Amino acid sequence: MTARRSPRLFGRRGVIASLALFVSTAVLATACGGGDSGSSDAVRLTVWTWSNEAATAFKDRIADAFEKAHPDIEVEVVAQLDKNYETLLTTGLAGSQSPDVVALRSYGVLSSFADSGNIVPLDDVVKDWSGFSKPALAGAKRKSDGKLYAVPQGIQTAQVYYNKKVFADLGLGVPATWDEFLAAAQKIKDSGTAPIVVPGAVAAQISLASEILGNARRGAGDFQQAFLAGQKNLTDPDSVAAIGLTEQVKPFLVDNVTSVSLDEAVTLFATGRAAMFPSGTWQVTTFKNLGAKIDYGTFDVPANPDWPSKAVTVSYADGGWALAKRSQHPDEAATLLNWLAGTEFGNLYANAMGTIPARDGVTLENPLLAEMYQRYQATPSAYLGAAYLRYGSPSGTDLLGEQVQKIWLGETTPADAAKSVQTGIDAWFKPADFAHE
Amino acid sequence: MTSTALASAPATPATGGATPPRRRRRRWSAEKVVVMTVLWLYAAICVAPLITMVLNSFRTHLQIASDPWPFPTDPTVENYVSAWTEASFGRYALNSILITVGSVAISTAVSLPAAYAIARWRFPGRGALEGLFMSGLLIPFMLAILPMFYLMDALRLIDSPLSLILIYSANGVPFTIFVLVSFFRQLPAELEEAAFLDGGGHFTVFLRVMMPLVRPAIATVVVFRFVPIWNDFLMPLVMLRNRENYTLGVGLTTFFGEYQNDWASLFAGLVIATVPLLVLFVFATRQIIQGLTAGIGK
Amino acid sequence: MARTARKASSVQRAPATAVLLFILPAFALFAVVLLYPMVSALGYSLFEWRGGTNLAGFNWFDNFVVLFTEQPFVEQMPRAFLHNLAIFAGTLVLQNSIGLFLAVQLHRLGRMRRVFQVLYTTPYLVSPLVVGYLWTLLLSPTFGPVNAGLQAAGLDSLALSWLGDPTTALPVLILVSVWQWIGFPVLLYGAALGGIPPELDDAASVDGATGWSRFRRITLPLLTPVIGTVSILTFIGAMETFTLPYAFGGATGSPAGATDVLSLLFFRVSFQSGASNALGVSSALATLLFLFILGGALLGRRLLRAQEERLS
Repeated sequence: MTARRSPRLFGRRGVIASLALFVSTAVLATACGGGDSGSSDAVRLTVWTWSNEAATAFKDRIADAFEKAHPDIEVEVVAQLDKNYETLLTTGLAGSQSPDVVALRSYGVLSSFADSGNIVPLDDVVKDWSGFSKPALAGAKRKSDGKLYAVPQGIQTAQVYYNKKVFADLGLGVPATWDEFLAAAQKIKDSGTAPIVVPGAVAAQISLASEILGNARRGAGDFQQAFLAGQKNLTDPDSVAAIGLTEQVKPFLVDNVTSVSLDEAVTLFATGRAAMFPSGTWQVTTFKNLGAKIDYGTFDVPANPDWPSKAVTVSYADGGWALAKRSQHPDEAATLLNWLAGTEFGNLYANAMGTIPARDGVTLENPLLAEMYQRYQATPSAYLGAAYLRYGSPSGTDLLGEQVQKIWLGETTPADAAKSVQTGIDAWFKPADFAHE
Repeated sequence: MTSTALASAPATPATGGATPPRRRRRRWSAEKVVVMTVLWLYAAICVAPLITMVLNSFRTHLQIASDPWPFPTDPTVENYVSAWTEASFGRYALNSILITVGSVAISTAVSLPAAYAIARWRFPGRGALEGLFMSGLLIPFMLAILPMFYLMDALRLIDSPLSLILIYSANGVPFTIFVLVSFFRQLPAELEEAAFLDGGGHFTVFLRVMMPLVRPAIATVVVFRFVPIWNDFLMPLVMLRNRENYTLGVGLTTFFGEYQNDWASLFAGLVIATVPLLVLFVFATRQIIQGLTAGIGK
Repeated sequence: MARTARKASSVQRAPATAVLLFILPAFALFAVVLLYPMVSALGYSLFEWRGGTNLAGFNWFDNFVVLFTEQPFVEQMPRAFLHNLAIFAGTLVLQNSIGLFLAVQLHRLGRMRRVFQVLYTTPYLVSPLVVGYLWTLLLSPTFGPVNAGLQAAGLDSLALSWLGDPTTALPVLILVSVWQWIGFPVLLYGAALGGIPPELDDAASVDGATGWSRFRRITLPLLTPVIGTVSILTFIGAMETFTLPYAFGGATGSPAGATDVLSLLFFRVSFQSGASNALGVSSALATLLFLFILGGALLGRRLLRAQEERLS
């Protein structure tokens, strides 16, 4: 059965819905003396997202593009408060007046909402999944049965941003090995600029930075396979050595790194007070919004020859669109989801948000993003913490963030940190759960 | 006894050591200078961060983030424009007033008689009732969100401001009762007895004699209930769907991005959202003073 | 006079209809909109849930057992709990000393009193959501005016990494929390001081009592109920504090868990954790917290009563 029916003007649900809509509009119009003049025969879909940025992007362009192709459907995208998004979704999806389509964070959160039964599997709702990349789909699957519960939004790649002017002034090129990376940092430090900034007050950001530094040292995809096969865990020597890289960069971090918030880190880099910033794709947009004039480039952390892996592009699935079970307009919502899965949306969204596309057929206009996309296609490697260690509490990324803070504060060693994170996730992590990968 | 008696009310220094003779007429004793300095210093500590915020609301995001001194070199009102329009503050302010005033009025109106009864009367189950009300203060609010949502859904009040008024006013009951009971308890019984002898009923005594005596406490409770409701952003997001019904607190969240906060607009929005509270509060303290003098004057 | 007044109060007997009429509106509102959801919320802790709100079955006290036997709780719960207690102790001491001092001093003032009351309460008026972020900005070692000011004054050694250092982060949290809340005790104590008949004080001073002993013998006993009220509310506030720690240290209580509190732990294990039984375990945690606060508050009330008896 194909869930997406041919777009009839009046399905049975459609008749009832439009009747209800008509009646309520009429009542409302009489009550308010004809206040609202919304077109009464179009179905209005409500979409929720945690991102104010995404809501703005829809308002500016994306919603219009969809409505042009589907004049009988209106789309309203509502941004809910980021930090309480999952709480708001839990209530929002559980009762009446549910939103129709909701953005969900990938991996663990998506899986848990799928378990709740308040979102619907999309394997048959969305007709064509072929364009999506494997890493993108991995973030949209429910852990227990491997079914797809979301249309992937995008991919974040994570890399090192560097200030081109600082590098050029010191005669530095993009480092080719980890040793060169450290040597460059030393040279920058000697020149009086802080070499590296990390948002060291934010656990999730520290965890991401550690992953950027350490993914290749840990063994990238090979380690991931061994980890999921249950052959290796985080206390493996390579994993400890990877965490150890955060200790090696400690002398090169900005002062008081454990007090630096994300906003501060962005400003430090964008105003040239720190020369390198390991972070995600989204920063391209952030730097632009800040209005600072900075000439910057990006590179993946280079590997030493004796490391188990060459340099890789750390990446993770960055959310997806799910269908609410209590949507009043499932047919129209399905139409929307199919459009969200297409190339038109892919192009609009990736370029408006500054994100790496989840599917093929997308051209990135920003050359910096295009460069990241290219590297990602050549040597992708999953962000282990996001992809596998956020399916329970404590989350592996929270634990790692806290442990790396302790390393920087001189309170622990990489080996103890690795052990502590592993002990924490042992409470719930079982490699066998990811058999559907 | 009038307000002048209050103004020259006997000193009760907590400073220990110094024991100046009473009713010293000299206006500027050393002690008074010290005390006034301390009071002003503390006032500076209270207000300086907020002034920083106000000053920052006239600067751009980049200026705020890169220069620690908040004095705007090139002041801009851009932030206020964007805060007012982007966050639809005009519309939200009306909702905030309706919801906050409604909630505080209801919770104070129902809690006053209950607090009075608990404080002044003996009846079976009084202690248990007081304990029960007090337990309402301890609600882990983050957890109660889900069942409250179900309740309001069952009452068909999702997307209605009435749901917020109900929740906020119910949520105010324990706090209001808790504070007012201790004030009602403090009152001397003679007043009550005298009023009864004059032939007043329970309700008259409560309304005409006892309630005016706790007016300062009522004013305090009103302010301290008003503020969290005014600033709340979570409950409106849980209960409301139509943006037309949002409140100022929700409007402020517009400036928190996923990866980047818009400090400049946020500060401007905050100033807009806080000024009505300040006005209310200045008004309420006058009420407190009046209440005080009225209470003493009896 | 006050003594007899205290004893005389609350012996009134009122007819049942009056009691009902006075209590019922508050009770009805409270019971339906607050008590009922609260009881169901606490009940959630006895069930196992599968993903958000999907009921999987009754599991007795398993969720509570998890809290005492499994990671992260065995490690993080005691730590967070101690931080909550520290916040309570710090806030209690500062609010009752600074707050009472300010209230007493303000009480002696004339017209200026209102100005100060307004000034001291303004921090409370600002959305707590933003207060935390405002202070993060102010205290930032790189961009903040606080450290810039200290350095300008030549006090470089005092320009610390306030929120980035585990030893200073929690004290700063306490100070900012007091900064925000001080208006409440100042106003409430002020209101209570205003209720003390001046004749009492006059009478005592005629007896030759000095300032401090007058304060101790007359003012303090009369303030005890209000001090108790403030203390119990402080206790509840400190045990449930969330917004400020979240703004300062994020969900993990940065740096290195130094500002972790129970409500942050709750936040981490609840809906956004990705754990399937998040609702069950987080409800158990909240229930435990609720019972503890209830116990503490009841104990506080009992102590308060005893104190009132002793002083009157």
